[in-house]
Amino acid sequence: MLCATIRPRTRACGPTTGGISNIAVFDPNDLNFTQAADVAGAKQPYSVVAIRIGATSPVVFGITFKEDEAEYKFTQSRNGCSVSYEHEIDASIEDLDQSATQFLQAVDAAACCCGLGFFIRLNSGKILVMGEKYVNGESIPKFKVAQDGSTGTSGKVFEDYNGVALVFKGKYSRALYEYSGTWATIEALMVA
Amino acid sequence: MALAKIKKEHIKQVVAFGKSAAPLSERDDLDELAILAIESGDKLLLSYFEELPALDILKKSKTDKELGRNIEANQTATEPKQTEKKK
Repeated sequence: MLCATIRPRTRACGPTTGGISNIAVFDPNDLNFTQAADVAGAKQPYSVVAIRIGATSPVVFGITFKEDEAEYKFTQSRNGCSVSYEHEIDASIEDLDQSATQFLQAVDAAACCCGLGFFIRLNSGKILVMGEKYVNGESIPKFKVAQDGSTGTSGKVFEDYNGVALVFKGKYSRALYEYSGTWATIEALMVA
Repeated sequence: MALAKIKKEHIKQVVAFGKSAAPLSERDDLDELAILAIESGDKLLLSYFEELPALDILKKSKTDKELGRNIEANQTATEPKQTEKKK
């Protein structure tokens, strides 16, 4: 490789699954992620999540969404050497009520000031991190994720859908890093 | 007994790592966390610890601990057979 270091994409032969199992949201200012040093130039997953000093517990909040309706996707684009990844989470929260309004107000306020962070647990078991701000005790280039394009409906008849189709978007320079711990440790941060 | 020691002011600090998000004072994998802190250079994680031993000493301690666990597990696995023989 005279020009660039290319890496293989390999995985052990075996099945995988699509879809999202859990989504949790956090204030990116509250959490610090530990990322081990590169191995042969390759970036490693996040292995530790610590609550930053001054953050008030709980710092992570679960989002209960309509089963089998949530999706994470990204679109990569390029202009010369400039690369952009447009990340998006779509999820439906059922029932238009005060709690839904409170949630929407909270995420709008957070998105306006400092952005939102997400843990996305895929049905495959992998946990992806989106919108993080602090890594290894220092801030990384801004990865701002905000609610953008959500829609809500009451439906017209009894069997119609009643709820909010949430859309969270954020642009960044790369695909998402994984968190190598278990989901139970994220749940612990929801009550810590 | 872990070689890495947590500063008193951080013993209640919660850290999610591996399979546990217990406060630092209740964790039994502090040496592992300390190794990660040194290798990553994570300033926040490093700030939780008292002055840390050298990386190779921490790694040796971690290996010894794992070996100890394996020996213990092997002994437990073989104990019932020994009891049977005595009968």
